[in-house]
Amino acid sequence: MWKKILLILLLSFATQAQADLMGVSVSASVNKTNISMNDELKLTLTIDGAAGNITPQLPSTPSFNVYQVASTQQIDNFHAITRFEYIMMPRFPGKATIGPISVQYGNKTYQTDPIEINVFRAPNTATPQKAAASQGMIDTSMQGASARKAVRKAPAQAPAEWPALERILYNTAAKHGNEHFFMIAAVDNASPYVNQLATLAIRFYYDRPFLNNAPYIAPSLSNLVMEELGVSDGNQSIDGRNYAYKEMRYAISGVTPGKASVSEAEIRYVPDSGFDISMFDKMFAALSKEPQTAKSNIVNLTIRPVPTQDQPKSFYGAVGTKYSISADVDRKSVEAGEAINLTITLNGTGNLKPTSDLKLPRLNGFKTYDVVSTSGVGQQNGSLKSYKIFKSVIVPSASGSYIIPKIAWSYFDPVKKTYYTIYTTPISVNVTPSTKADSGFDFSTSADLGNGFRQLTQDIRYLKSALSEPTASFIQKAAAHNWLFYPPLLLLGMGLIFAFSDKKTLAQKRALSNAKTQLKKALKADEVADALSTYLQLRYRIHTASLPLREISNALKKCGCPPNLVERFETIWQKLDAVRFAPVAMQGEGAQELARQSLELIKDMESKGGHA
Amino acid sequence: MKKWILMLCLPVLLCLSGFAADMQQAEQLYREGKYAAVLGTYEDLLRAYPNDPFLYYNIGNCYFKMGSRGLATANYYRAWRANPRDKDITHNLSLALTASGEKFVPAGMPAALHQAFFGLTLQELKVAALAGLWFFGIMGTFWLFKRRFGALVIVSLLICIVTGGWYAWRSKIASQKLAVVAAPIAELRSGPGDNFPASANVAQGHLLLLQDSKDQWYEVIVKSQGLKGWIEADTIEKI
Repeated sequence: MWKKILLILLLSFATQAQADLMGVSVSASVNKTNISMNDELKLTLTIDGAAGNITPQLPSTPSFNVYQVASTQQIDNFHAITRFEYIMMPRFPGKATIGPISVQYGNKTYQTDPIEINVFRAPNTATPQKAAASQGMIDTSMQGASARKAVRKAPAQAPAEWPALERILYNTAAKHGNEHFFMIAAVDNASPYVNQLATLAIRFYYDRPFLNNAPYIAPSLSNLVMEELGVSDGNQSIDGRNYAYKEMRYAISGVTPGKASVSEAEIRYVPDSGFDISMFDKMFAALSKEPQTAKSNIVNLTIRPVPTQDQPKSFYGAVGTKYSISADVDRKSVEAGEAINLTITLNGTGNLKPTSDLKLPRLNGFKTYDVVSTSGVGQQNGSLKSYKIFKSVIVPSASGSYIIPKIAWSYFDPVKKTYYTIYTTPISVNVTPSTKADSGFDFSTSADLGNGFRQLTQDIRYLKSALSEPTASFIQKAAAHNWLFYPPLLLLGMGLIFAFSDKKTLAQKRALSNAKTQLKKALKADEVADALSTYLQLRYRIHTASLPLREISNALKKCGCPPNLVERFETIWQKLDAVRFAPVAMQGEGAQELARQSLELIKDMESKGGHA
Repeated sequence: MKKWILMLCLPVLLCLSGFAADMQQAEQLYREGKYAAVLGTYEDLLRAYPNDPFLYYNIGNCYFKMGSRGLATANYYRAWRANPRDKDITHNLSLALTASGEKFVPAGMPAALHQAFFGLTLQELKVAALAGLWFFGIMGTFWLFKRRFGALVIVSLLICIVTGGWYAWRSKIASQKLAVVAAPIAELRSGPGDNFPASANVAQGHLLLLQDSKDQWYEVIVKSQGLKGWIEADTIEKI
């Protein structure tokens, strides 16, 4: 006896100490938030981090009759979890609220969040027989007996005020009134937006017992992602028969716009004979009987794209409601160069898992590193709550007082069909100069500069209060055009080709044509002499005007003109001199002959006469 | 007509008045010692007026006052590259480098020669080289055709060689991948990873020549020491 008391005291002490160290959290959840008058609600109160003599204070719940069914305590490695379970039977239809449940532990009082429940009136059918169906699969043998006594009636429609999913499920099930085992599937929204959550419910109905260990195969999905929301039991009267059902709920969301589908879910069961037989016989019967399969219907969905109009830049794909954002840093006072962990947390009703990672805005004065995200989902009161945590390391480069500005994040509300943007609150960070780096050069050393001046310290020069003078536009334009390097090179190349292909200059090349023209027109010896003189000037750069014949001949020889050509030139030149000073009668025919001889000489000089 | 001109000029005037107000406000904050706040204003202005040397200079001043010599040096360097003849920029860059134990003018090089060599921006030098080439191209071609003004051809060739060589040398210097240690202290390791031993600690403000990169690591040579090693990308600022 004393040992037991000591153990209890020790446990109480240990859990109390743990509660002080780690804190206690209290939460309440229900298995469904939409029920009909025939259904029963399971409320679970979880006290994490506490054990011992705990008595929860339930609020007044006039809408329900409440029965406590169980309380359990679990202690692992000095971590205690206490659970209380209640069955709640609705008393009248309408919106009902389960108020905050108070738990007194230690010197503190903890409270749960209120839970809203929608209670709908049951469809107008024959009075459902209160059979063991309410116990679901726990005791399937009892249901068959009661179900067999049922009276067939016309199927009833679910009341219009029921939630869409409940109504669809009820009405779909009502069409199967002639079957003992069947399975149905339905979604509450057949055309959700991308990433918008829809609820998928799969129900297995039975009105007679079956052997336990009926394996369930979840449906496969196309263009959808799925999160489990939980399993619940219920019953429904169809055609006067009382059916029990087991319901699996999932939160599904579309991946890309377009068609999506949920394939058939399956359950394999072996119908029970219903006789009171031993466990051994039941096992044998399970082995010997052929299992039967119940399959749900295929559910087709159309996934809608979120509107692109007015889509904020900070939209990363989240669709849902009641999102909240917060930001925090692990340290608000650091040295320059030290890392700060920035954490941004998102919470809300919807699935944040498939959304893109938040992009951090540019933080002046900080080096920012890539954002790493973690996300998770959880079910709370029949809806999917999710969170996403973004972590980034930011490093201030220099000392000073900084403000991490508000960070925007947007989501699309499918109910209001509007984008909403939420913001974090700005965070102040104080950065002190680094003590790790060297202090640098000491500028404070004074120095005598002479003439009465003493330099005390050196500092950087003051700010510039205007922009720099822009570089001259022609420099910018010229520097931008690299092709401008090519024309002078091309020009030089052409000159070189010209020079090396034929060593004559342009003037030299022009010499022959000039001479030809002049000689053809020449009627006087003077004109022939002028033509020959011009030719020598252009071709050999020999200026004949002031030179005696001997020197002209020498110059020609220096230019590489062969001696025979030089002799011919001398002969013609002497004749020209003679004619120029001869009587007038000698001009005319004599001059033309000299012109012809000069032309022949020039032609020979062109081919064999060397060059200047 | 006057109304139309006024309407056309209005956006420009508004932009200019906004700019002046921003600069004035930044200067006021700087005088009050709120350097971190000023920094944001100048960085925003830099996005509107990219590569303005005076904005780089002002950003460098903020970082210097905040004790980040590395980032100050990086910004002064950018300003100096764009405007090498501004004496304030040169002074502050020189001071920031001296503070980190680096030298603005390499040892053994006369300051005047350094100033002359870097006196023109790369853009200006390119245009000078271009002009030299055109001068020589025209004179050379003229000589090839006419065989005249031989002396001018030689002068133009010399100008072309000097400006072209100067531009080529400066281009080679500019093509060096330069960085500066931005973190208060950085570790130089023998390989690209934390698993390699650290061979030296390099304080902020030291100039680095980037050689190679692997993942988030750079192979660098510390300019003043000639040390070679690997340094984490996040601890440096590329210039």
